[in-house]
Amino acid sequence: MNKIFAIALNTYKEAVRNKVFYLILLFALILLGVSLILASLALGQDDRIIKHIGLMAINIFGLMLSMFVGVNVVYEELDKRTIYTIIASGVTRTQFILGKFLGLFITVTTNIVIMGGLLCLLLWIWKDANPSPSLIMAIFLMLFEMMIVTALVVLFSSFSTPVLSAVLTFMCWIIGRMSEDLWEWSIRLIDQGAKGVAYLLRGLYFFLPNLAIYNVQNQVVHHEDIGSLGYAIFIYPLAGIVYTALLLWIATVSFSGRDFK
Amino acid sequence: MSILRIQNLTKEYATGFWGRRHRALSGLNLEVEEGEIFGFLGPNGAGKTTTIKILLRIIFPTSGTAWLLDKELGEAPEVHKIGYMPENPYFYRFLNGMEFLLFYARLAGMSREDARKKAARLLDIVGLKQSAKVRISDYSKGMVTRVGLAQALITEPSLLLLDEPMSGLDPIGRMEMRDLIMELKEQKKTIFFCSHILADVEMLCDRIAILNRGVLVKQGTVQEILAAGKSSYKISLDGVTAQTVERFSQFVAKYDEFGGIVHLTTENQEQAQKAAEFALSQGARVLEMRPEHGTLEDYFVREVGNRE
Repeated sequence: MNKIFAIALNTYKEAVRNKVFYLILLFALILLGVSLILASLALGQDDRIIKHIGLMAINIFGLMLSMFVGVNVVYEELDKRTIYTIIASGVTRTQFILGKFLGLFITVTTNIVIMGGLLCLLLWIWKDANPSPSLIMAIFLMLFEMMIVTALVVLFSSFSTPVLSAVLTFMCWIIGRMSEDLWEWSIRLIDQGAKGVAYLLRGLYFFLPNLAIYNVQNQVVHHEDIGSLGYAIFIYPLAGIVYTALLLWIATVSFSGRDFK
Repeated sequence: MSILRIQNLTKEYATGFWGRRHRALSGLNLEVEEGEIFGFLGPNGAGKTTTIKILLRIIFPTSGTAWLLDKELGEAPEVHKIGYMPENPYFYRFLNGMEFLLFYARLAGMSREDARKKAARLLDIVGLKQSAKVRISDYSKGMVTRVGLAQALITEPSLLLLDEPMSGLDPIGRMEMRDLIMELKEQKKTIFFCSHILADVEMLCDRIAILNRGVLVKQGTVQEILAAGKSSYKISLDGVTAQTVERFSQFVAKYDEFGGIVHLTTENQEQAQKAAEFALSQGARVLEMRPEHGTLEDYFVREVGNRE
């Protein structure tokens, strides 16, 4: 466990000393600032605008961070051969993958917590309102969405180039966000006789994670019910943890017998 | 007692689109005794780094096995007793020298206090005390090599695997590295190192092995290897007349004259004896007669070159 934490801490240091981290954080903060300008133009809708843009910024920049920083964390270790001394230090391939994932996830979590905190602060300053439980829940669920995305990045970067890893992760995120639409489309396609495409969509529906369940931004913005609290607090996070564990297991299996040339 | 034993180690890689098999290492057998400096020589692509990578489980062997400190490949290794410095090391550029060593100390499970003490001492030993807080991205190539050696020593290992430790060092850096390796030997550490710099190998190693195209060509002490190679005899004569000089060509491979002293080189002892007797019969004085072995470089070029 000590070795996993050592690698995680090193990965975290690498990420937060990377200029990309600050660039992404800066853009996200600018977007939060823009939300204030827009809020001042929208009479009576100001808190909705701030929440909408704020949550979107946290989500998009969290995704960008895990993708742009994450695609390099495993690849660079292999490319620059820094992995040689790590493995020679008695770190197993499984510990290496888990450490990399953990370090990256801590980085993304740091980003989400900083931005989430700033969003709550903005709302408090602007509307003199405490953050609503639904807003906290939206940020909490976002963490699990990013956990899955981070695991996808680590999995892809363990066997492909940074560009390909980024493309594959982004595709999985898009499809995961449209998971419920995939099922609807497959029903319609079966009705239209295009069974092959319909089964392909159903395969993607079952195979890829349903990331839409972690997105409750619209409900929060429009003050709608975010659904069963039990699902939000336990079931969805648990599903995220199980799916992440599965992805990391695949990554470690693909990594365990590998020669590092 | 063998601290490292390699038995019939073979490694094949799949190369190219069709996955053609390339044999990087072929049935290597080797033993390294405790406390010795063992030089592992060979041209580029000979299989030296492949061997070290197999020993450290960075790659897996196709067949054969090895024992490091009595642990066979596949068994949980005693990694804290093994130090490794890779060839042309590239380390985490975002860390400074001290952080870098602390990271490896933490991987080895050292306490924070112990790790700090050892890291500070090692940075001092390798001459990087003043650069402990400087990021590795700002280090010169020689400094990176030295911090790499400090990393290999952080757990105070009894076996050191050094892959081209002199690479990237200037003459003073090389001399310091040689001194450091000798110091480590005095501390009873076993050192297994690959190098292209044969003069350093000749100076440092108790035993060497020469590898070419994945096959072990020769192993033994430097003296044994040089003695087994082609040798010649050198005779220095005084008082040789110009007429006599011409007649030496029947005995010798070559002759030179500097400042009135004639230097003859013969291919074997018998010819040297005849040349000396002839010189004496002509009234010359024999100043010196000695066997001369080639350098390790001569041997290496001849052995490896012949197999190319």
